[in-house]
Amino acid sequence: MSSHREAPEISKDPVADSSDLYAFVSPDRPGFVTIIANYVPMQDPDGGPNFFEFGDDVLYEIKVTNDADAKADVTYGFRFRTVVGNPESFLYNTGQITSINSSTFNRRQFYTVTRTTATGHSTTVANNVPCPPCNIGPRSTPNYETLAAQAIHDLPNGGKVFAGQRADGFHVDLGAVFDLLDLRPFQNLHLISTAAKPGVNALANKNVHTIALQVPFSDLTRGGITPHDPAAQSSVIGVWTTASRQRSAVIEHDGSTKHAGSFTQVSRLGNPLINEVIIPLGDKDEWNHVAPATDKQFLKYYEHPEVAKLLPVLYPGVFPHLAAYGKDRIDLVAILLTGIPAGVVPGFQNSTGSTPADLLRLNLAIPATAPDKASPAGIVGGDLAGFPNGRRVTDDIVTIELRALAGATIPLVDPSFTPDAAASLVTDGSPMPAFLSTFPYLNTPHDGFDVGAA
Amino acid sequence: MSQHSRRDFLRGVGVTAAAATVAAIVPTGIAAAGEQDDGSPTPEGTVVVYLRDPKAGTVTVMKGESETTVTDKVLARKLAKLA
Repeated sequence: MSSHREAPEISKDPVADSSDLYAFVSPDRPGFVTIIANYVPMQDPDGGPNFFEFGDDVLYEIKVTNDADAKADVTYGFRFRTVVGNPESFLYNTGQITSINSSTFNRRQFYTVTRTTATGHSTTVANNVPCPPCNIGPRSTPNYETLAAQAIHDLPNGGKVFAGQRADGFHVDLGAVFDLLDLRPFQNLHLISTAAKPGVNALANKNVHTIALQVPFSDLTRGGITPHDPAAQSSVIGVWTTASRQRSAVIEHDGSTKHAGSFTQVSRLGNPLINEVIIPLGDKDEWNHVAPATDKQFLKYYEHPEVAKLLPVLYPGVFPHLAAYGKDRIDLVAILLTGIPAGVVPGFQNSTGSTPADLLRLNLAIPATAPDKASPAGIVGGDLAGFPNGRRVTDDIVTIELRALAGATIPLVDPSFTPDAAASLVTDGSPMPAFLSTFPYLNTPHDGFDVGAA
Repeated sequence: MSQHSRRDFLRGVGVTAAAATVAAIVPTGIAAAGEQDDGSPTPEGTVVVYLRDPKAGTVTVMKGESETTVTDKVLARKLAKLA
């Protein structure tokens, strides 16, 4: 998965577990960037009576750097507050929820958004705004799209914010990938072979909790500029999300919990699949706790990724060129840790300097590609507006990263290397789900009644 | 504070009793046995005292969303005796 349950400790704390991060120039709103951070992964839509929600005790943040130090220059902080209308009822909803303010919506969440600059200046940009309910079913939450639309709130400077349940937009064949890196469409070539089959999306019926933000470029860039020059380093921002918890929690005898102390980071996410498949088990928990600016300590895992060593072993004879390649994978270092410098991909760069840091790097001067012309393969598919230039909801991350790890991107930095034929073909084959064409882009969450009956 | 509640606290913060580390939740205004109230204002809300390193005397006091770490071997010894 992109970053769902990707490390031992955070897998036990789903409320704070960041699972996906997207950042892209809004295709329907030029001049505005959309950032989406997903938490609380792997939700079964019928998981009542206590349906899913954000943690009141978690500090969620979206961080943006607009210079070369990989440290946050703009931070959006999100704090949630849960209100129970009728504590004498066990019900999440005591009747139909026809409006986001329905009195029958019995367990509500509200949140506050703060924007903090590098100098520490903090502004509240949304105060005590409501989340929508989870999508319970057609009797409890009829017209769910209307409820969700009521949960899109305006921000200063024309921005928007949404926090609530969405359908998980990530797609991956989990059962196959974690069964010794089996890829169903190619499992006839696997060391333990069976007949090839179409891939499966293990997340097809799962929901997540989404924090979505749409703000003008000038809210994020150095000097508040609106970038127009793709070659300028000031056109590039780096984005990551974190979740933090207070350092102490005391469980009282009445079941309540008291918190005290400063917040400490327990989860982070920039590029997809990094802590999932690049960082080894022994370092995953630490990776979640440290800042991107310290990622030099993990450089060796990018230079010699385990997946690139596994592919030739698990697919005998399919990746001979990859097996023979012993050099550092500076293609992956550039794509994932420093950004792609000018001169590698014609007309493109998203370099943030030499500090190795896991950031989702977005060149804001590259206009969005019209949705009907966008390539799910992103830059390797010739579409400069896609991953790894930020990440759109429609980018086929598993396929892109599998192909990169298999050596397809090595010639970008080492023209002497000829990728194996399979490097441009490998995919897990998981089908892409549907998305919305407007904010918050991730689709209406699956409802518990219908998914439960499927 | 009873021994029972201290054990509960240790479970709550995930600190193992095997480690030479002691943490205590301090009700507002409590003073160590034998000491007199000096009249200074008492904090409101939960205060958690974390004896991080008894030998070095490192004590972290957590309140609200902030914390302070001090080195005080006398205080550390008193807390260790309470554990």
